Amino acid sequence: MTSTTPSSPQPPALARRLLALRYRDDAREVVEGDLHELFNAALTRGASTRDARRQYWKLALASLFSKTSVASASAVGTPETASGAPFETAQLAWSDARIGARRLLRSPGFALPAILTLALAIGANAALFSVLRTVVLSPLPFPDGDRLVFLFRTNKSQEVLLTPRPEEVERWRSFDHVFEDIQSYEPRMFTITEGGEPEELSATAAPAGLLPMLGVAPALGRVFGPADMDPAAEPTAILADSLWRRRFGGVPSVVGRTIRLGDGIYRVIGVMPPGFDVPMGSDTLWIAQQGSSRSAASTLAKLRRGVDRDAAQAAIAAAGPATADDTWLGYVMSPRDYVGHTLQETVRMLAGAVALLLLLASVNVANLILSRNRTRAHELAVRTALGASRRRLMRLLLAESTLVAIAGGVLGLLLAAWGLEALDRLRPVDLTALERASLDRLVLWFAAALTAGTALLVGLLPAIRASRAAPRTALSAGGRSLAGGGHLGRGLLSAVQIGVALVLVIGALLLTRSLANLVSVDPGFDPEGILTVDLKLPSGPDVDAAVRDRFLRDLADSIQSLPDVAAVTFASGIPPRSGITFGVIEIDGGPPPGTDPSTISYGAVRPGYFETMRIPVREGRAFTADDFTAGAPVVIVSETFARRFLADRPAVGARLRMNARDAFATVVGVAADVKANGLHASDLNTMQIYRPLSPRSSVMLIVRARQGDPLALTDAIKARIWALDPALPITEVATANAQLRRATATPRFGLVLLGLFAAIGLALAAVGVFGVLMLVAGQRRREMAIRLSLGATRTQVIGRLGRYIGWVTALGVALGIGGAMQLSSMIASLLTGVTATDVPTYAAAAVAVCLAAVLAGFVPARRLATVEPAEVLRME
Amino acid sequence: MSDYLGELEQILFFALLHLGDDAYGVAIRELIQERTGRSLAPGAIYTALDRLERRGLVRSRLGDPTPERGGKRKRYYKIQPAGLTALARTREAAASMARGLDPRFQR
Repeated sequence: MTSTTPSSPQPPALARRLLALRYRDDAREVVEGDLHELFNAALTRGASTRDARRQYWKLALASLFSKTSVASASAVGTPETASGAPFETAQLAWSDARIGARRLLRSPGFALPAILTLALAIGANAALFSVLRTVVLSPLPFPDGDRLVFLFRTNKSQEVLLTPRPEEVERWRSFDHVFEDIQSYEPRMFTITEGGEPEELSATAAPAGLLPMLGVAPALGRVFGPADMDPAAEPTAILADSLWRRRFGGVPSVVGRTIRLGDGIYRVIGVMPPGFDVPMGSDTLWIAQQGSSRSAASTLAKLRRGVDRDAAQAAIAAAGPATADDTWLGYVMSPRDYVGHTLQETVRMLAGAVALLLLLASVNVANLILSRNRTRAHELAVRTALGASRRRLMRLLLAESTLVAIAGGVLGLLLAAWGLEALDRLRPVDLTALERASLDRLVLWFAAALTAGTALLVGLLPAIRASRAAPRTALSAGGRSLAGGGHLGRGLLSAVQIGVALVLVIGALLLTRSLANLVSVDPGFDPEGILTVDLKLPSGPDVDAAVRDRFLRDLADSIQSLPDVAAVTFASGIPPRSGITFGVIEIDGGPPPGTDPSTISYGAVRPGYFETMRIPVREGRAFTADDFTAGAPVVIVSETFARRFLADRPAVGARLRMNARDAFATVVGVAADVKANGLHASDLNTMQIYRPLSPRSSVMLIVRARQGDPLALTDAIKARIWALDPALPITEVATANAQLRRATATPRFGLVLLGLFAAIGLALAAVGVFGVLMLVAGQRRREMAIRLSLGATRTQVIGRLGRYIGWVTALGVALGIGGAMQLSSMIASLLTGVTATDVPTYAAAAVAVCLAAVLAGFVPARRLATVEPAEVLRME
Repeated sequence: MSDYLGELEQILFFALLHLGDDAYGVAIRELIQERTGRSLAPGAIYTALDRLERRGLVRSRLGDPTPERGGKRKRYYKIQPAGLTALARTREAAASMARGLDPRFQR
C-alpha cells in the first residue's frame, strides 16, 4: 500500500471537478475514490505521472459519459420523480437538459431575445473584466512583475509624489538587501511621419538595464546594450509591436533600417513582443538614453525576493532625506496603486455601470421567462396533474434557463472578443494597456461564473413561482391566458429595465458634457498657435552660463525675425506639463499660521514668457531683461500662491526663498493662475512660483505663430537653430494643444467605456421591452380579435397597447431619475463643470429612453393592428 | 418475482460472488478485467449496481476512507437472496434455450 503524501503526484483536479457534473454526494465520493485508487495503483506499478493522469482522465470521462441504461432484461421506464438514489439523479439532469434544449429550439421567439440579452451583458462584463485586469489587477505583466515597484520622493504630508533625483536613486541603489535592480527612464514624445499621417508617439528613453530588468526578450532583433548609451553612438530605437504593425506593415526587415523620429535619425534594432508597453501602458517606442539622465526621471525598481513593498518603504524611509537641507523622503509605490492613483475613480464608476448592466440583463431574462411560463401555465398544470412533482417541474424549468445562460455566455464571449478589438481601435493614445486586454483563461472563468450566477438568478424565481401554480386554476382557464392578467408584474419589470437603462444613459451624457467642459477648460494661457521645442543646450568645458545666455538671446532674435512668428520665449516647461521642481518655500517673516508652503510648482522662465503665453500679470510687473543680469533675485508668484501664503501682507515686495543657502528673492509680480500640471482646478495645481531662467543643459523654446498650424513653422525654426549650432539636438517638437489633449486621455477613456455600456444598456432595455411587448401582443391577439369583431376600431385596439407602453415607460423614467440621483455621488468626483444632478442632461436622457421604448413598441403594435379576427378565432 | 439479469449484470454478480466481503468498485473492475479482458469505467459499474440495488437484488454499504483513495470511502456490495435467485433463473433460462444446439453454447 502506498500512502499519499502532499508532495506525491496528484490526480488532475479539473477531471475531478468534472465528475461533480454527474455525481453528487456519496456517489461522487465513491467514484472519485475509485479513480484515485486506480491512479495510485498505476503509479505504484511504475507508470509515469503523465500516464497515470491520462488514465485518470480517460476513466473520468468514460464514467461521465457511460451509458446509463446498461443492458438489462428488465429495463423498465423509471418513474418521473426524483428518487433518492444518487446515480439516478444525475441521469435525470441529462434528460432535463435534452428536453429543455428541444423546447427552446421549438420557441425561438423566447430563446433568441433571452440569449441575445445575456450575451450582451456577459460580453460587456467579460470585456470590462479583461480591461480592469490589464489596467488594474496586473498592470505589469512581466516575469516577477509582482516584484516591480515605482520609486518616488514625497514631502512629509505625502501630498505630492515626484520623480526622484539622480543622487537619491544612486543612494537607493546601494540598498542591496532591498532592491535587486533600479532603473530610471524618461518619457519622451516624438512626431513620426513615416508610414502614414504624422502622429505623436509616447516614447521612453531607456537605459541599457531597463528592458533586461523587466525580463522580456525582443520578438525581433536585440535590446539596448551599454554601447548604445554612449552619446557619440548612433541613436537606436526599439519598436512596440503595435507601432511596428501599424506603421511598418509588420515587416521584419524594418530591423536594421533607420527611421526619422522628430528630428533625429534612429536605427531600429529590435521589435518587442505584443502587449509589451513599459512602463504603464503608454509607450510605443523605446530609444537608447544617451548620456546621463537630465534631472529627475521615472524610476522602476525590482525588489529582492522576499522583500515586499512595505519593507522597502521602511528601508528607504529609515535612510532619511538624501541631503541635509532636504526634508523629502523616498516613497515606494506598487504598480497597482500607481494605476489606481489615476484611474481609481473611473474604475469605480465603470464597475457600477457593469453591475447595472448585469442587473438589467437579469431582469430582462427573468421577465421573458415569467412571460413564457405564463403561456405555459396550462402545460405545467397538466404535468402536475399527471403526477410530476414540484421538484421535478422546477428542475425542468431551471434546465431551460441554464441552457439559455450557457448559450448567452458563449455568445457573450464572442461579443467580448469583438468588443475588445473595437475598444482597442477607439482607445485614446495614452492607453495602450487596452491592447493587452485579452480573453485569457481567468476571463473565461469569470464569464463562466457569471453565466452560472445569472442562470440561477433568472431561473430560480420564475421556476419557484411556476411550480407553485395551482393546477386547477390554470386548467379551468381553458389553456388561454386571461387578458390583462399578470401584465402588472411584467410591466413593473419592464419599468425597472427602462429605469436602469436611463441611469446608464444619464451617466454617459454627464461624462460627455464633463469631457466637453474639460476640453474647453481654461488652462490659464492661450494654447492656440503655441509650438514648443525641447532643446539640449551646447555643452563643454568652455561653455558657461554667459555663453548659453548669449545663445538663447541670439536664437530668440533669429526666430523672432521669421515672418510667421508672433513671439518667442524660453522656459523650463509649459502647462499642463510644466516640467517643474518642487521644494520647501521659506517666506521671510513666516507663512500665515496653519499653512505649509512645501508643495509648489516652480517654473523658470525668460523675459517675454507671460506675454508669449498670454498669461495676465495681475499685480506688479513681468520679468524684464534686467532681472536676468546678476542683481537682487526676484520672483513672480501665481494668484493662488499669493492668496494662500502672502494674504497677510502686500504680495509685491514680499520675500521668499527655496533654499536656505540662497538669498531671499523679492516678489515683483503676481501672475494669473495656470493649470500647472493637468487640468484639474486644485490649489496644488495652481500655486506656482516663477523665477528667471538661467539656462542649464536643457530648455524649452516656446514660439507663438501668427496664424495657422504652428507645426508648419517646424522646419523654419529648426533651420534657424541649426544655423546657430548645427549639432544641437532637438528632443521634442509639440503643439500646446497636443499636450493639452494628452491631459484629457483618462476622462476620455472613462467616457468611451461608459458610453459603450450605456449604448448596450439601452439596447438591452429595448430588446427586453420589445420581447415582452411581443408576448403581450401575442397573448392579446384573441382578445383583440374578439374586440374587433364586436366593433372596436383598430385605433382603439392599438391605443390599449400604447397606454400600456406609456405607463411602463413613465414609471421607468421615474425610477431611472430617482436611481440616478441616488447614484450621483459615485460619478460626481469625475465631473468637471457639470453637476451630477444636471436637469437638462436628465431630460435629454429621458427623451432618448422614451424614444427607444416607442421604437420597441412599434412592431408589436403593428402585429396587433394586423390581427384578422376571423382567422384568430378559427384557430382557437 | 420474475427478474432476469442482463449480461453485464451477470458478470457483476459473479464478481461479487468471487470477491465476497471485499467487493467494491476497484476490486470488481480489476477482477472483470482479469477474467474477461473488458475494461469498465467505474461510472458504468456503479450505474449498473445502483440499478440492481433499487431492484433489491444487491445491497451496499459505505466503508472507511483510506489514504490511497485520497481520503474517500469505498462502497461495498453484497448479493441478496433475490439476486441469487435471479442469477440462477437467468442462467437456467439461457441453458435451456441453448440445449440441443452447438456444444459451444452449452458451456
